[in-house]
Amino acid sequence: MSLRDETSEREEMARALDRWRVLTARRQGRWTRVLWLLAGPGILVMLGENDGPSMLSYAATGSQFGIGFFLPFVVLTFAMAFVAQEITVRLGAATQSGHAELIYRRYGRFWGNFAMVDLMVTNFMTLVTEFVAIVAGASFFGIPKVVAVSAGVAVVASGLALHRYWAWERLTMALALFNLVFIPVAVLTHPDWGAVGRAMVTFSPLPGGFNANTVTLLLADIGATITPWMLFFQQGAVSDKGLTGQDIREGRWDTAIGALVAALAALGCIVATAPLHTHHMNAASYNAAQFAQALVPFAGRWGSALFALGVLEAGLVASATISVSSAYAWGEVLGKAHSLNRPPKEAPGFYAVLVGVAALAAGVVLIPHFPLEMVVILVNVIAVLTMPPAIGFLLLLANDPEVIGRYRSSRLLNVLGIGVGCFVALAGIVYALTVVLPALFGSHF
Amino acid sequence: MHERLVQNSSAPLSVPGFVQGEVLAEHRLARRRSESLSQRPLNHRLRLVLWGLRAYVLFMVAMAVVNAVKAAHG
Repeated sequence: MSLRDETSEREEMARALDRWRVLTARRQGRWTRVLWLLAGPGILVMLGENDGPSMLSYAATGSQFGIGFFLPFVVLTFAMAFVAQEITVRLGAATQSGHAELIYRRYGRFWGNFAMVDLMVTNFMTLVTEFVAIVAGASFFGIPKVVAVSAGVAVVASGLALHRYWAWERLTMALALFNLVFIPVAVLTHPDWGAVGRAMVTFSPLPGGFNANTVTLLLADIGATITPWMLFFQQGAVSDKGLTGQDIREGRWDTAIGALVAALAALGCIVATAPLHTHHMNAASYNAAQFAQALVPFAGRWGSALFALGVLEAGLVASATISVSSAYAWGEVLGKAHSLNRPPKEAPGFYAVLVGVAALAAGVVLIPHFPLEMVVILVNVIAVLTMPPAIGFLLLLANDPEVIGRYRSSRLLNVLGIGVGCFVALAGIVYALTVVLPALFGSHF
Repeated sequence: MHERLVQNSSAPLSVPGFVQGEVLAEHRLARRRSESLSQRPLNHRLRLVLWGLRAYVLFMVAMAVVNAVKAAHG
């Protein structure tokens, strides 16, 4: 294994051009232009995490609990995601290295392999569910399964044709903006905005109280915002894009804007499906297309079509970003070329992993009688359960002066980071208790 | 001119050598520093924490699989 990677002339040139534009905008004092040029990794990671299973979790939350506790809770999870992702901005800018590379360099192959297994397993399972979402969203419009999964793989493969990080990022960001369609769907259902406001302030009501089902959805909603691939993707994207120490402020803004926009889309999805709870429709086992169909009486044909479009988009964007995070990690660990600024002939392994994992996940979705439902149930939960070690390594790296230098975490950021780690770990323990001792959660506490 | 080159991903990329050296100086320094990083020895406490987190993941994933199988057959 070699962690040394030679950068190509073309990759350097592309990055130099991007830097040139940023420095020119800085010299001219055009901060909004600087932000526009540097934004991307944060917005993409947050909107990418509003993926197929996440939107399904939010839809299930809205349909089972309505407008109440889960609205502010989802905002809280995005705040926690911001705390974790901000660290990757500093690490990527300070080291120009990916997350996997730093773990292997600092903690060795033994611990690095554990982190990689967590990443690859959760990434592949999540990718499968992204294609499930793509198929479900497309089925609403009568698009056949094979056409839908092929389109998904084609979106992932767009990196091959673009071989420019900037172009790939802008294309994927444009696609990711469709995540906002959940907001007009919510408006079309004519929600009680007063109840939304009260829920945001009071964290209530929570129909049914804290039972096993609540805990599972709680964990699924945490898993819908905080997962290992996000750390690997954003740090890799920050270094591929070429952010430096002086760009950290804009990197934070990028991440905060991404968290805010993604939180609005998530809230839109919960509010949009809340009428199913009000009208006592049993949506516990609905898939994405069934949710869209069920919304017709409340949001109209256009509203339900927008919902299906949102689910389709969520799957497409996440399949692209998750595949890229797998390819970055693969290249970093093996010391192979891993940049979207390179043409395929200069980074064949990187692009092979990028398209290969997506094609494999797409293939799994096409297997008849494959237990996709079980994968969908498991994916967000497993993502949360593998998060505490990932946060552990993140905090270790963010406090290692040899790695991050003067950008190491302050006391406040460490308190927040440890808080997020403890919260995620405790949520997992409560979940385990619901499995081991279900009687404990049979009645409300 | 640089703007046009950047917009068009298929166009050949070019930037004067001295400009490239200037704008990528910080990157190259950061890369060199990263490549020279050595493995950090883990003390007993840290090793214990990492093993604890690993055990946590294995136990929890087993729980999640059990729960999913139950749910699928329920």
